[in-house]
Amino acid sequence: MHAIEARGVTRRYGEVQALTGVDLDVKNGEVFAVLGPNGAGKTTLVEILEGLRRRDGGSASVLGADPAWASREWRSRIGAVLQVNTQNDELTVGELVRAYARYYPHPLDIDHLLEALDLTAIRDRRIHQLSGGQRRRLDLALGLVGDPELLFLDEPTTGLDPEVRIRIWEFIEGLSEQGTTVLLTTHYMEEAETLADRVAVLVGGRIVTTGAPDELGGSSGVHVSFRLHEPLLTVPLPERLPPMVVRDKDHIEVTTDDPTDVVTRFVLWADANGGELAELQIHQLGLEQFYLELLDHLNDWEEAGV
Amino acid sequence: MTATTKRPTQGTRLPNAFRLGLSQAWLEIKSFSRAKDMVIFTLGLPVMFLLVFGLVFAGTLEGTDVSAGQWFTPGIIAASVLSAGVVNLATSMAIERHDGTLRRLALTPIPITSYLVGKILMTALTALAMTIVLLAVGMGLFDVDLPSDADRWLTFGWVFGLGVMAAAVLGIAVSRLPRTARSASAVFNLPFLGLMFISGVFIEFGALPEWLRTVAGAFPLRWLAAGMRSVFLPDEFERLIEPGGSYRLDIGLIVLSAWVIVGFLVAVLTFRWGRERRG
Ligand SMILES: Nc1ncnc2c1ncn2[C@@H]1O[C@H](COP(=O)(O)OP(=O)(O)OP(=O)(O)O)[C@@H](O)[C@H]1O
Ligand SMILES: [Mg+2]
Repeated sequence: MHAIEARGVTRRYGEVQALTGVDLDVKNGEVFAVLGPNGAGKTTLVEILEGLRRRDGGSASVLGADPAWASREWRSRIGAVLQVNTQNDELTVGELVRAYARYYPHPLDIDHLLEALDLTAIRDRRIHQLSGGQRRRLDLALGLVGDPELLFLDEPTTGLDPEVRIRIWEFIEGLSEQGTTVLLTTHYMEEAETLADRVAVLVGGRIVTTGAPDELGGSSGVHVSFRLHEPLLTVPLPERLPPMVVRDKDHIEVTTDDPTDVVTRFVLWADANGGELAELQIHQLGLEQFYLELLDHLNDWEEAGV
Repeated sequence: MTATTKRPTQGTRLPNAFRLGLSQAWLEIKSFSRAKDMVIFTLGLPVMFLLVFGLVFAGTLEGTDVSAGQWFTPGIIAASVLSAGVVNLATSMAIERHDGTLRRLALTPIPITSYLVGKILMTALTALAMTIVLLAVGMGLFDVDLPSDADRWLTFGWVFGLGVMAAAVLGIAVSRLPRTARSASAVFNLPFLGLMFISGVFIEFGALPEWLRTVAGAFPLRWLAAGMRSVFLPDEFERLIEPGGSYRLDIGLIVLSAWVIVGFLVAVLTFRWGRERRG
């Protein structure tokens, strides 16, 4: 049985159809990332699965139970970081984490947890005195302190500095290695690539694609680009090139699955014609490129009325 | 950096709901005591009432040797106990409902009863602090005497205990009324001031029209005031000010108990962590 199984989940807010039939399977022990533009419905979906919002239609099973009718025991097995920060302004970091620990049957060791999230130095500080990034790390501590089997993270690292973000990624990777299932939303493709076993792209309340990040990113291939100088500008290009060649005067761009072959042939061709390739660049088109192109296509289709 | 977890030992028992309620109360007390301005104004308001009424109406009440301050003290104690629930508790719950605190708690396995027990204990503590301050001022300035017999202390005990719990469940009920955190204080003034005027806190209860007395009799404040007067005023007042010459604390016991028991059940059964989560 999967950790999360959702079928045809719908949700509407007045005029806004936030989710239009979402199917989602998250396997046990998997890290699953949901990507999507602002307002796509990510938070709505996650909070329905947490049992915090209701759904209008469809079915959902999370750790074997319907989140809309969850028990205390069920709640002790999930952890969550909401998109908005936690309040309780007058308490200190340490006090609040300890208070949350008391709600759970087998909480984590608080000293270790605070240390891992770099909160030890500020454990006696009042919450209203924390910076945005410190608050976010506190939210993570509160989500993790119950030692959940399933962890929901709604934009966990938004607003964090790059160093802290990487520490948190390492922390989440550690949890995942110990078998914690993670459902996360993010706007950072690097985050999804680093953490996620699979990603889904949610656009306009519907999942448009699902797959492993390198599958999705890798499928768009490798990007090769360079400039031509005389005498190459007037020489015809080599034959039998891949179809994705774009020439803009002296600038050449090729998208290919086999960059070695493309580069070799261009180098040989330049040599034979007494010139060389200037500003040669080769880079893997990652998830980001895939994602942006996908959104672009969807926009085009929408405009075309498909 | 590595994660610090061990896999959960399955089957560990969930924490005890009542004990969690106690630690919730402790958190509430810590938060409250750190908001210094809130502490000062919460305790200062009833004292101001007592000072104003006690000093404006100088002299003794007609036909008795009871000073105005002495007369007003039990009524203001009763009103303070009510306000600890209907104003303080209700406001804190309304804020937590709107600032996301309750939603966050909804994701944890904390039982509703623990949360509510924490709130009710905090209400009792607030009310007790207000009562002590009022009595201190009353004894210092207005010749208020603490009762010396065990009977009166017993009455004080149950009137205060049941009264504060009734005030708390009433507070929990009205905490759902405001539609935003900002409107909370405006909304809660109505039930508080309304009950204060119909329950004879400042005036003789017997001077009110009978239908109003009947309405007031269905709410906790009227009985809180009668109970406190029976504790802090000389015996002859019972005859002088009460309709029928009796405080009827037997009825008070029933009404307050009913509020506590029915009110708590209704509070637990109708409690919503968020606008959307069930149970
Ligand atoms: N409580 C609500 N009442 C009315 N409309 C809502 C509510 N919550 C969300 N919406 C609408 O539903 C849509 C989806 O919102 P949601 O918060 O799920 O998006 P999201 O993908 O999490 O966006 P973001 O990346 O900005 O966090 C949006 O159009 C939003 O305006
Ligand atoms: Mg969101």
